[in-house]
Amino acid sequence: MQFLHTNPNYKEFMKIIFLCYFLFFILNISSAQENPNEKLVYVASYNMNGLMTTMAQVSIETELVKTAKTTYLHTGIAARTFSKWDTYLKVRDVYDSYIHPTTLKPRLYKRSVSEGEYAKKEKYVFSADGKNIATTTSKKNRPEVKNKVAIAANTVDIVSLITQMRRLDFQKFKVGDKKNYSIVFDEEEFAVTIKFMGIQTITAGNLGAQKCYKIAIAANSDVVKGKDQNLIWFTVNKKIPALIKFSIPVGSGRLILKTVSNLK
Amino acid sequence: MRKLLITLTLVFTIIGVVFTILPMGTMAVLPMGIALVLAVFAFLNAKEEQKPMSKYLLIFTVIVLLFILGKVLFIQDKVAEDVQFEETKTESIDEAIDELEALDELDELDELEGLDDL
Repeated sequence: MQFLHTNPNYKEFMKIIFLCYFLFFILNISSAQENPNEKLVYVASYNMNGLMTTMAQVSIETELVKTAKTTYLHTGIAARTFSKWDTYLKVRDVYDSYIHPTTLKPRLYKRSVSEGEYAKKEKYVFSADGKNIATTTSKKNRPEVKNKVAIAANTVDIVSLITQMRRLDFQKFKVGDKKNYSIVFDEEEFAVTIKFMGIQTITAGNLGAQKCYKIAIAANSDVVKGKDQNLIWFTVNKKIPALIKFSIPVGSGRLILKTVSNLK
Repeated sequence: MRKLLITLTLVFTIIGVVFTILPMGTMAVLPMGIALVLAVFAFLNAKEEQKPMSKYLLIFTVIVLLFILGKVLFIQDKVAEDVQFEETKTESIDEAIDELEALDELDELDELEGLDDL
């Protein structure tokens, strides 16, 4: 540092640093304001003996969260069973991800699961270089467990994955084109591949009929089942997930978009 | 034959009623639909003096089926107001902001250490 102060180009150097910082700040904010305060509400149904039964309401909310130095993009996913189910199985799940708006890399991920008698809380703090996460896990009536997990620099949490997918330029994709991702879930890192399946027109809640990109998701894990059976339809216009179909080892279901609010 | 039909109608009616009480949505239509068909056959196979039992069973299955359809068509799914859940969500965000502030400070320290190394 002493060397820098005595250097005759120090003032010039600091001006450049300041200019870079200022430009970065402007870029940061403009990028983060892409879809702030957007709220998407879905109806989740589960397949029971071939009949889809409505189970829960799932909401995805996006907002800007400001700290003294950075503006993070907060995406929160909340799942709540409909009141008719609360007596039998009350579900209150929340997934929160705090993403750097320009790099789209997560910095903090929180998961709070409450499903009947089962309860679990998870917190992942991503290191600045993204190469490891400090995890804190707590389950009902059990002590808190802290861990450090090494991950690939491009590995993200499940909420950030949706955000990253929404930023993809699907116009450049041809049917069958694939893109690989890496996600961390339950402290396990696994590969996720998305495949472009084409364009279809489907109903997207209060947006009406919309042209959508059909995307298949495959994971190198037991969490999902079947080939091309886990699908997301993103509207061409704003890349809103209009319909999600999932197939997991214990069954299958779907999330249908009901309402979109504060869409810019 | 009539006794078998009545027994099966009763079994499917009980399953249908249980599904109607539980929030199974359209799933209750399946056992109640079968119960209705069986009740119709039981009614058609009944002799004059045996008809009241079959008739009441038929009427009951129709009423339950109409109730299920009404429930599916007119009662909208909604989530209960959960103040505690909303408060927990807000607290979690507030905590996260504090944690992010701390992380920003750590990043800044790391950057300064990096400059010192120059």
